[in-house]
Amino acid sequence: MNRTLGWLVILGLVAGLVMGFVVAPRDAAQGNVQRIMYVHVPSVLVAYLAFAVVLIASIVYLTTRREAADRIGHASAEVGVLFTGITIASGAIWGKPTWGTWWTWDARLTSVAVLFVMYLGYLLVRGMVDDRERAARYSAVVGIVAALDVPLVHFSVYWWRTLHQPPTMLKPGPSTMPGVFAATLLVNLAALALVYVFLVMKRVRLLRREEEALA
Amino acid sequence: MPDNWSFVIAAYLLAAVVLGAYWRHLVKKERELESHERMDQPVKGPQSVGGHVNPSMSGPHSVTGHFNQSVKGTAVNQSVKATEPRVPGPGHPRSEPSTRRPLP
Repeated sequence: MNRTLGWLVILGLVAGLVMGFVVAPRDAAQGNVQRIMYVHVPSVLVAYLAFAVVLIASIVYLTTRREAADRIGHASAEVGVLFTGITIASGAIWGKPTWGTWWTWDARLTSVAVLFVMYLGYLLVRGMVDDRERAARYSAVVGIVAALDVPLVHFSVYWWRTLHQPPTMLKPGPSTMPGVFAATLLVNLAALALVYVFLVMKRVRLLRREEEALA
Repeated sequence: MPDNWSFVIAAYLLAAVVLGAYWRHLVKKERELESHERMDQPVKGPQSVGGHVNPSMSGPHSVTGHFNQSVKGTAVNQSVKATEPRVPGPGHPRSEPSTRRPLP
């Protein structure tokens, strides 16, 4: 199962790179720098997925006290923070040639930075509290509160005047993106989602073994 | 607009480095756990020679330095690491009859 998933991840990433660099054409307005979108947008969508999993796992842990739920939440938060970091960094790299700046305190950028810090806080809480049960309980609460920022991030471009463009995916109404661009985006999204599943599964297994070793 | 390939490559490389570094971190953790488990394994196996230790016998003079676990009622050899000498030393509870308690 693990090996099959590993091969699927490699296949997905290769397909994503081929789609992003070979199949998808050069953007008429932005040129080739627009290809950063195939990393940037799937990364943030996978981060949303990761934090949704943290939210569900936190609720399940608080209601049932199942350690498996806590482990899934922990692993998902770690991987979600990674993908949020990639989103922020790739966005900054894309912003420099297109906006003329690496960073601006725009509503979208600021809310994503807050999201990143909140989930870093989630991981810090886990590390700071010695008692395992209390650490799981506190971080579950942080995981639920932090999830409130996800819709704020997504809708910030509608609610405030921002430099950032409106969403290209997960938006109401039909897609305005040409088919080949949308297909490339979807292939890269699938590849990064597989990477997420693969990393979370591995991290969950390691967390269980760590707990067994400590017991 | 210029193509800015350097920015494109930087973004992809950065994503690859971040995910690759996390993957390596997980693999390193897994190896550490495996080596830890391997060190513990022979102790639980057929090489076991002793029974339970009377908690009162375990003290700071113990050879292995792990006898605090035996206070909880764990078998002696479960706490002895494979790398440590199996030959009873001067501080071993079974080697000194004088430290044994008489049977009731």
